[in-house]
Amino acid sequence: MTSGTAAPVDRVGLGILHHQFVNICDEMAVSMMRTAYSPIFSEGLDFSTLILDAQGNLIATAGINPAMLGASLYAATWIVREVGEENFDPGDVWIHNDPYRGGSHMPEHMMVTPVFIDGGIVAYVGNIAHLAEIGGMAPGSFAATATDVFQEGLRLPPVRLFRRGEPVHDVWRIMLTNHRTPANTWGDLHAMLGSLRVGQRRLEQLFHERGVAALSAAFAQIQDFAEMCLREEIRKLPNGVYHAEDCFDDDGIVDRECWVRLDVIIEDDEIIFDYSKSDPQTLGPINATYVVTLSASLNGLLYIIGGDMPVNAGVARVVRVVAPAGSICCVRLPGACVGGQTENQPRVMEMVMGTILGQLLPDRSAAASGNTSLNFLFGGVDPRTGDYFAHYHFEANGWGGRASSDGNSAQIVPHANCRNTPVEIFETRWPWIHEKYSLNCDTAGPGRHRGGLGIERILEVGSDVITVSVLADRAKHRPWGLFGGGEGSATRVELRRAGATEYRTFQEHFGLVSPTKFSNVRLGHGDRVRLVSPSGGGYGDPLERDPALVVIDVCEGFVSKQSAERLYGVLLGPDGQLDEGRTEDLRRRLRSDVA
Amino acid sequence: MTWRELGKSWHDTTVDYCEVCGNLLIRRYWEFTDESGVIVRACREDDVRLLATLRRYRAEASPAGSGA
Repeated sequence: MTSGTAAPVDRVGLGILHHQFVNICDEMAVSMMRTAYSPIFSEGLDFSTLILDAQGNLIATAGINPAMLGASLYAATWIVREVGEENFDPGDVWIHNDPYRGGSHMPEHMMVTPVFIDGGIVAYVGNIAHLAEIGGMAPGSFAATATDVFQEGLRLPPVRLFRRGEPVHDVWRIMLTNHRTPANTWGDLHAMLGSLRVGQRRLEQLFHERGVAALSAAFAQIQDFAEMCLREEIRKLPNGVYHAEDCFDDDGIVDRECWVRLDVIIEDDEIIFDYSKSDPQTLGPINATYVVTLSASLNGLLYIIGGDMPVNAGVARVVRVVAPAGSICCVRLPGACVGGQTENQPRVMEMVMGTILGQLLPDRSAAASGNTSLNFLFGGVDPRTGDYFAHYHFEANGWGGRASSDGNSAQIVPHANCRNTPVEIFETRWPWIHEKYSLNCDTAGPGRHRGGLGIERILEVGSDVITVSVLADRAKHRPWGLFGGGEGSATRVELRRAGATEYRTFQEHFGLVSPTKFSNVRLGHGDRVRLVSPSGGGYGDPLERDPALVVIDVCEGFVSKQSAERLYGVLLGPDGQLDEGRTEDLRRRLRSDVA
Repeated sequence: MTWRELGKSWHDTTVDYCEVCGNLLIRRYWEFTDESGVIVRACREDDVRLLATLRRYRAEASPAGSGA
């Protein structure tokens, strides 16, 4: 094949190449989605696909799950650095899930394989995916009461899953033996492997078309280009130090608030996210690894000022994150950290998007979403098949209102782009029966643009025993509004025992430390679980909301007539239409009351 | 200032952290001496400058909660 030339590529050429790289990542993602066994892959899309250069630097990723960006930037680089490039052979596939080697949390496994051309490594392709069950103290491997990483599942350092194309049986056997649902692990790992093969094949084609020298040079240029684009955008922000803080209700082990405190330093074309004033790491598993805090910082920034710039290792040259080891934003071994990715990351990201950048770019910022993934885990033996099952479900909530529109309703928190588990999947794969799945009226944070609505889901146990765990937050500290918008609503996780008439929280039932974090509660036939996810905060003064939109909200069942009057100063006539005259009077009176 | 190998054996499972930013140290680290003579282990060469910037801002910072 031709070695090609290494002449610089212009912006248009780089743009074309960038989209070719992303296309390859997208195709890898589709392959993974269509071939996986577990709904968390096929429905939840909780994975990323990556192209990396010969040093392991991130070149491109599919826009599937930005929550994995931090891990994507470092985990492969560090595999290459730790094991040495000389130990990669054609057909090798390395795997690891170690949060203490650049992983986000234990369930997310990274696979990486080298791309060889003419006997030399020219690139790597990789993926990161959340395996729904990896052992540990709770089915679903998301133990809200874990106090160290060893309780969170099987931890793998970088090891070969395939050596020169042949499976390394010892590693497979260790993994399959320690996971509760080995058939799913088998299928999902092969989906990841297939995705790598797709990426490898496409990238080899591209190298043959463009030449090694040209494409390798483009890898470097596209990182420089991303760095330059981000510097240009940061330079538009005013220099200064900006502060934000937010807290978790508790860590699941101790009933005490846990604070994240952030100083953002903007100096010309550089930006530093300094988390040094945050609380020490917690005993429970809401700690973030460094790469999770990096993801949160980068995504919060890129969502607001990133536009359509390429996302690759170049952006990490501009953005510096300071999170002292041993803090809630950078857990130190052996701290538990499975919830850092799902609770800590969205919390921090929205501090960046709302509290920090809201001051600087109010037209692009947003109020807080429900801001918890409301992780609901369960496992047991399915009476229909006799097989052990386990699943990791994350729940939809309401997003925050923003300058241009209301917050989205019933969506997974915005850091991850994932999707929750469909009702049909719940009922066909596991012994659950849905009694209710609906939007929650009168819960959205009021505002000129209101928050999105959270959901209410009621599930009835359809087998003798199901073991459930929950890791969530926002039961006490509700999602904040922005620029006069009101708070969203709180999380509730409740249980109604078979034969009982009322729901009570799990905390009330079992005397738990936390209302939203518990592990391994055994439920029986006819018990009902009620998950109420939080709604988003509002953006702007509710009295500035277009009355016609309030009327629509009432008609849709999102807002009651009483709340329309009390929160928005909007009155409807007997025909259900807007009463303009009385609304104007009421709003005038409410404004003068506030004044 | 120089890059140094961590020199860990294959069975060593300890974890090392950058003393400037908290990021992990994998296989090697950038060693430098700060203004007070303390030896610092960092993940990047650029952390010399990062540390200086942080110290400058922290010295200038008004009491807790300083905003924009």
